[in-house]
Amino acid sequence: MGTTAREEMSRFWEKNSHSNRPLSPHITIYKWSLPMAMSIAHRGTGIALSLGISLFSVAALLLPEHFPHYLAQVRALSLGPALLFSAKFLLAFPFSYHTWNGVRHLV
Amino acid sequence: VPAALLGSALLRRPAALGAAAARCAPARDSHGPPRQGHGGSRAASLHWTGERAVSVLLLGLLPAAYLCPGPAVDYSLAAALTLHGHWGLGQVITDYVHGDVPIKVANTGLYVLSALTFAGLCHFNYHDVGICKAVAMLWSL
Repeated sequence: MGTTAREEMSRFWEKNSHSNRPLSPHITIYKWSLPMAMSIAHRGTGIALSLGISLFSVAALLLPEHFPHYLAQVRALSLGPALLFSAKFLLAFPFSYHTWNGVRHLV
Repeated sequence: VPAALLGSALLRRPAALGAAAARCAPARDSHGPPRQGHGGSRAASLHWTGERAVSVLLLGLLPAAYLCPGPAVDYSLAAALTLHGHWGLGQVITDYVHGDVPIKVANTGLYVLSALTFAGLCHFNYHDVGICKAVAMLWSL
């Protein structure tokens, strides 16, 4: 029945990676559309959130004190309400975007 | 492109087989589960379904975390978040990492990261205030 799809795939990649052909411009020339932008934003927020959670987890494993201790330290810094709001926004926005756009993907 | 090649190759074969079978044995009826292609496995399709299931579960955990914070939701969140992130980052690796060795290295690194993440979240839930409480406390700043 000829070649399998897997064989065809590996032949394609072998031939093309050996020939060192230049990559044709794609993201540099293609006009941005809303679906494109939303899709990459979904991926970007997903990666950022995932890495953020991993960072939090590793910190939980490595840092000596408990969460309330560090929270009290931040509270003691007496940061202005504008700064606190901005920080919360920076956390909440990627989370909300990824969640709602995720629902869009699910339905 | 390789994914499209695989997809169209899978689509072409059942059509050809179906046409041939109809000509050879027109009286045969076809009950049973639908064939998904010439010698393919169901792994990818099951993985996709699993991804959607975990996403829905995670979505449901969000109001649960707000309305009934506690260890049950904390540990469920730890599991669902880790798995959702693991599978998501896995897709990113599949899309952008090429070559047998880089793919293997990246996936191994991902497993280590996800294992650490889950361990850290469970540790936090057990020895510290827990995810739900932590978010509530953080937002009270």
